[in-house]
Amino acid sequence: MPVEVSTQEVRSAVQEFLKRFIDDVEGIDDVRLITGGLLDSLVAVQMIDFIQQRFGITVEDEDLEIANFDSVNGVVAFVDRKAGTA
Amino acid sequence: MSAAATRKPGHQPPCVHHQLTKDAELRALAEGEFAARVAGWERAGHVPDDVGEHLAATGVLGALVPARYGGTAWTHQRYGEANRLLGTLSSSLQSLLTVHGMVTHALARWGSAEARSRLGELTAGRELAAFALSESVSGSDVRSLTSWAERGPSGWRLTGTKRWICFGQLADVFLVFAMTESGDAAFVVRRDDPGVRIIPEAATAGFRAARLAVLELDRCAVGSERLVGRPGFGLTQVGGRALTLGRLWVAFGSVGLAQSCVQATLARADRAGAAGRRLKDFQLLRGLISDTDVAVRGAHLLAVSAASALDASSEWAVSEVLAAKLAASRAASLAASVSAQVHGAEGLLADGAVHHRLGDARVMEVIEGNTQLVQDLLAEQVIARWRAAPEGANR
Ligand SMILES: Cc1cc2nc3c(=O)[nH]c(=O)nc-3n(C[C@H](O)[C@H](O)[C@H](O)COP(=O)(O)OP(=O)(O)OC[C@H]3O[C@@H](n4cnc5c(N)ncnc54)[C@H](O)[C@@H]3O)c2cc1C
Repeated sequence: MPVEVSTQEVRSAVQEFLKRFIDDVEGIDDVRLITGGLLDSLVAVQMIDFIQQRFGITVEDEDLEIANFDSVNGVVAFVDRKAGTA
Repeated sequence: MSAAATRKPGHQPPCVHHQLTKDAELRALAEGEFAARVAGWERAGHVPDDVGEHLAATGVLGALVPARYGGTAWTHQRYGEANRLLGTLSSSLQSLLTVHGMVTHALARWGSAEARSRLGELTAGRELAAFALSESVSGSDVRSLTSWAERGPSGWRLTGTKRWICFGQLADVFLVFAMTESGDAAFVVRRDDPGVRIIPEAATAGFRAARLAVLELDRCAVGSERLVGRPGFGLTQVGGRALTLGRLWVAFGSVGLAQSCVQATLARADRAGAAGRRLKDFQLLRGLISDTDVAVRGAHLLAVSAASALDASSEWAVSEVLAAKLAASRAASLAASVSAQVHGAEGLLADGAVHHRLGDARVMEVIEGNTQLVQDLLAEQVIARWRAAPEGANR
């Protein structure tokens, strides 16, 4: 079941996750995380798990579009669509 | 929304002894049929073709597949113990569980409807699966892979050379990683596809019976249903998850290997020598015996803990798996070298078990992430975990 969250909450949760692995997340919202090599494959997988658990959504096969996970903005838009946030 | 509300409950502390007594069928197979034949196949340098059928009867080949696709859906703990058990006998044989498990799991999770509908062949052991990621110049650094898949009107054309594929000589199904114009991707390649050539690898010092092969793909044409996951996610969602599982199986397999080395060490050290003197009484050897005991038992606990973290989908399971892989592969190296040392000249017989197991332990520190790479990845996790909860609330 999707958890009710605002777009801003999604953004800060994703940034909070990234802070564990990236020293400086200031102004990072459009930076390419996966294709830019900022996250290694293990951490990219952990990020997807984090999004699923935190927002109660399931990443399906058809959700595997790189644009959905390659930037903070991409993730926020994706979660908004999946969870139908305001 | 609070973080506490979504955090998974902590997993239970490991209960090793309970696990050890399960799976009577697999144990009977290991201690009967396989135990009688293992020395022969290790010397000959190949696990016989019929092991798949024997293993299938125990359900272990479908362990990582849900029942709806014909699997037996074991827990990570249970499959881990199966790896440990086979690891005590033969690391070559155990490696079949590593790769077959990784691939069947990936296909059940990310395979097309067609790939899933064929899983029953793999879970029943009528077919075997192998994992084809490494290339000559793309080993630890998987992002540098050069195999290429070209999109065509009705599917894909794959070209490239994959190396060091465990059970590649026997496998019917290969999970192959290649680059595409839209990023890294994973594909199912079948042994009988056009443009596939399978060549045995030269003999390796460890895993000498693991039927290693080179897979050559020359414009190998496959249908679009052979794509696993999506381009751009081959090395993360498909490969990354598979490697985490593979590391856990290598950890359990290493524990089994280490345990068998400990047995050999103790048997040798407790044997009465010339003047009734036993090696076990030399104080320096007693140090080796106790250090090995601590390393091996500690690694087993870490492996069980990592398996239960995965069973509970706990947030830091990946980190636990890395710790288990690091500890267990090193424990195996220690136990194998101590065994080689106490066996003296006998331990150096090129065709002997002591020497073979030393080679197996070397492999454990190279595959599924070499020791230094795993240290690097684990440090990243340890620091991230600290950043997430500086007070240690998460531990
Ligand atoms: C018996 C056996 C079975 C195998 N089975 C399979 C299989 O089934 N499928 C498959 O795809 N592959 C398989 N492999 C390949 C295996 O995964 C690779 O050998 C492994 O990834 C290491 O790659 P490499 O040999 O190219 O060594 P390299 O990547 O060149 O590494 C050599 C050494 O360099 C150091 N090093 C490398 N990277 C780093 C780093 N990031 N940080 C610090 N130090 C580093 C380490 O000390 C490492 O041992 C197998 C290999 C063996 C020997």
